[in-house]
Amino acid sequence: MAIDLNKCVGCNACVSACNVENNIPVVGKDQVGRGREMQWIRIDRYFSGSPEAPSISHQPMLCQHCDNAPCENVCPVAATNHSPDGLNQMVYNRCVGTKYCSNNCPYKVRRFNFYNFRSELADGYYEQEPQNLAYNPEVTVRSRGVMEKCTFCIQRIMEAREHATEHGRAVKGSDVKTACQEACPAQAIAFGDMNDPDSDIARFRKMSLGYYVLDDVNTRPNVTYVARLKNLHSEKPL
Amino acid sequence: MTEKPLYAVAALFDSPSAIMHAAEETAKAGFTKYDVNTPYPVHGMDHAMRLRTSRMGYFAFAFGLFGTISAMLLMTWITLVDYPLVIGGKPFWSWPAFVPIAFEVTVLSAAVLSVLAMIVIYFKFPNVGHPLHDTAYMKAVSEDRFGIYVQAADPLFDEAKVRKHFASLGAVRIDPVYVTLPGVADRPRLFEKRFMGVLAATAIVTVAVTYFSLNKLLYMEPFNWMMDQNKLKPQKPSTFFRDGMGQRQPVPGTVARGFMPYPFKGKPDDAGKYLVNPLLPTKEVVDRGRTKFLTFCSPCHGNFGRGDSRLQGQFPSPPTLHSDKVRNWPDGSIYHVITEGQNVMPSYATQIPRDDRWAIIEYIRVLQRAQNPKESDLK
Amino acid sequence: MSTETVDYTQELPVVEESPKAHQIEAVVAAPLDEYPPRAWWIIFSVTVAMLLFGAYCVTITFYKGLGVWGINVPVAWGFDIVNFVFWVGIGHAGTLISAILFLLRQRWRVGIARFAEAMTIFAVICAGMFPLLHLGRPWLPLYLFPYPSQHGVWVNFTSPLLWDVFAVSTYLTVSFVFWYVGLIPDLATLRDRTANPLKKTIYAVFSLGWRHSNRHWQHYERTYLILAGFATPLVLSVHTIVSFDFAVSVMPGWHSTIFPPYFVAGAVFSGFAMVQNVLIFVRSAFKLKHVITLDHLEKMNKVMIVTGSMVGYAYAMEFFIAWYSGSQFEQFVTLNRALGPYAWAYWTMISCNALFPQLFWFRKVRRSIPVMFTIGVLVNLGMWLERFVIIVTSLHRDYLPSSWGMYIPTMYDIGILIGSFGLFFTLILIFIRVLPVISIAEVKALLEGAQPRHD
Repeated sequence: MAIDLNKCVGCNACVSACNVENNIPVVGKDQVGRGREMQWIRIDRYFSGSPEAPSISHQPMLCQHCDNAPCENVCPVAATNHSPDGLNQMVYNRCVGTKYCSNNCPYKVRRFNFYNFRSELADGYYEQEPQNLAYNPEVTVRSRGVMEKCTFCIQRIMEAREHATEHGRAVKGSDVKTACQEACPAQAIAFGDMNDPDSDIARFRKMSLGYYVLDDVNTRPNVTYVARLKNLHSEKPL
Repeated sequence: MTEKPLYAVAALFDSPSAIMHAAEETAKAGFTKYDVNTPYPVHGMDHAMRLRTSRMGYFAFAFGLFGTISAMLLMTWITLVDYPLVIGGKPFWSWPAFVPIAFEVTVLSAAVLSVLAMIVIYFKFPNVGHPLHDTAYMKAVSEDRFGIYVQAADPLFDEAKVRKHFASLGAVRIDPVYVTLPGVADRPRLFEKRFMGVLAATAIVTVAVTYFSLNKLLYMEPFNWMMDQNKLKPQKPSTFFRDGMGQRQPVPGTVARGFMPYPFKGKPDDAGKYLVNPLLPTKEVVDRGRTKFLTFCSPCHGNFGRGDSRLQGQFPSPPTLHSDKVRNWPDGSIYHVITEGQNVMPSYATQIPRDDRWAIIEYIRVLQRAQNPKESDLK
Repeated sequence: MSTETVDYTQELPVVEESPKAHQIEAVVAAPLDEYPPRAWWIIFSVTVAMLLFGAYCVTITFYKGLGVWGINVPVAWGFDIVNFVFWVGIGHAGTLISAILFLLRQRWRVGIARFAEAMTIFAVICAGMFPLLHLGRPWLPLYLFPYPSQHGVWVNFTSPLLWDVFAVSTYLTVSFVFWYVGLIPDLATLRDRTANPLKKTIYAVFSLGWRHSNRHWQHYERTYLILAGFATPLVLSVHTIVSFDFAVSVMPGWHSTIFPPYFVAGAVFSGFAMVQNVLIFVRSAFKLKHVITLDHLEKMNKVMIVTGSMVGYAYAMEFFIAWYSGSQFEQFVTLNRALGPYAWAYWTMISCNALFPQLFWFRKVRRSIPVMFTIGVLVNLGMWLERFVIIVTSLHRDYLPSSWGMYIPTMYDIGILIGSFGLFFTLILIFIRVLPVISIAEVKALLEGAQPRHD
């Protein structure tokens, strides 16, 4: 995946789309205050400049699907491992909830179900009908005690793969659109097969403005961020 | 009082030097079935009794090696053969990571199996009964006396001789020891009844507790499982909707994409008037029409459309397609009949795609022409 | 026999006042025959109350989920893992005293070895509960063991938590076996002493028919030596593996090669402090001051200086390496420990672990019971805080500032900590009334006149 920070304005459409697509519960103010927000993609904001004239940098942060994933190494039950097509997979029904993977993630993109957020909060609001009709049937509804994170919309990847198999061909990167990518009004997110030299994503990876977050931890992440260029001179008053 | 067989003659001493001397002299006298009992290990007694060095070290080494090898083999087999997984970009056989586990398994097997070997082989567990238990001799030895005894089974045993031998060594007290339980201290049997009973009871209790915990307890509140997710999948029931089904029908009048609805429902005359056969009677079209006709139409209307199938004669008889009525119908009317059905004939709209229906019509025209040829055809 | 000057050229007597074998037996076995005094019942009710409170907190945790604790993202490990490492560390003193001092032929260990081993087992039991409690789905602990399952999947052998599973269970098993093997001759002695038929049956079953035969002593001694030989690398490896939980990760402040020796030294340090604290009570309550002598306590304090200094060195090294590495993350974590929101924990830890134990350089301090007890308590507090500082400060502010958070323990976190102490002391109180706290046979072997003179 590649995220072009020149286009991102921090509108959070990707966050909403991801939450809806992946059956992510709303945990409420109290739990967010305790640091248990459930967002598989979040928009990090970094402020620079002075309080009177701040400037802001947005960075959508999601699971980087690292090649040398630190989370995979430390899970004792092998609930997270790497798929042959380069995704970091999370196996919910194997997870026993030691939370070591979350501790070891330098990006802290892994989210833990501290409660069964669907039944425990607001009198079990999520479990009552018709709220449960809003769930995406393609995505697991996680129970208490399991870890979850961005899956690069694996349900959409699998669907694209099934269509491709029906038509007797291999799946193309452009067949898949992740929820965040689809929702972004600025089309700042690109997703595809990096092994395909003609794809957008392969070009993004080669861009000189492209960088990886926390590169020197050697996790080898697979999300390329394209650095935002600012013309500071034109912003100064004449 | 029943005569109990003599097991041994035992003597007590009250200093470690005395017992050492006694052991040396007893070994020198040629006795082999004898033993020394001390409340703690006395230094040099093994040498005095001329005992071979204990073999426990070899056992420990063997068990430890077994532990290491089996742990490494198991981990290798799992990660290379049975279920290789890509974990963190590491190679499948990450042997440095296996070292801690292999080490722990080594220590575990060496320690536990050695102790088990000691108590089974040397202490003869579970045959731990012995004639010396509950004797005054044993009580004294447990506290602070040192003892030595010679078994009656020793080839050189003679009660009077042994008593004199011990007295000459300065024994504080000499007692005979009798066999209290028959068969005890003989060859050990593993299948001793009480021990087996305890094992069986433990096994039954373990099975019952495990079954209950894993099959019943874990499915009660508050344990939850993701086998039952509170979402609606196709085919799942739903209590929210009146008909109880989760899967909803489309709203009446919904049209699928890329699909136009049939505009002439119930209007056969309009169908005849406005529908035009989009296909030309080329060979491919007619061949296709023939295949489809034979598949769908011939069971009732006969292979050549004469109505002469096996249904002829039953009520109502399928009509021939070569009647004047049908020959004079426009293509659209035939299309309408295939689509909607007529009288007893059902609708074939779900079985025959639209283009195929037009192809069938082309073939019917061919058949009709064949039955009623024009003059020019016969030349 | 306490003198002002100690002659270090002579080996210190193992037991003072030259008792006879039957006197040793009488004094050690006395608590087993008597009904417990009121003091025991009072303390017992306190520890059981602590244990029950902890059990209640555990029940709520199981029922509602880990959300009742203070953990969050980023600090997903809080009191649970702090307590785990703390209790495993305490267990190490017992094995060191039992096994390592045995291999080093330090005869003065016999007075304290049995008790220390029992404390190891109880501490590891307390520790072993925490990996289970902190699981999000604690009804699936069997996933942590490699067994052929219907899923077909096994475990991840590269994970330090899995090494923990093997290490802690091996440590518990081997410590228990070692302790039990040492108990066999004493159980036989008790069997031959007691008149109570029920006790006699129990002792007879568990003593495996031991009859003090020298043919058995021979194998027994060899096995004991083998067990001590295996237990020594085991104790070093167990806390090394526990330290790998942190050292193998990529978090700044954790990813450091000093962790294995640092943790092992810290474990021995805290373990000795706990053993010393409890023994001070046991020796006066059971009139064992001539067997657990002031000299022995002094030696334990010396071990505490050594290990405490090693821990202090490790603290200094962490500062140095953070600067020398040039890694901004490492430097920040170190500064954050000293100056950030958890600085109170950090500085308490430094003073309790690195400063106060240095008082043990003074002989008067080493031989003063109240002062050494206080320093022991402070060391335990400091070592608990050390694990807290390591775990919480590295997690709460790590690489990306957007994920920084705070860890605030809840009542259930604290309740489970209290419960673990309750469990530990309850088990000790039961132990001291049911089994002999000193290895009778070993002490008898080292009395004056116990071994033959070579005439």
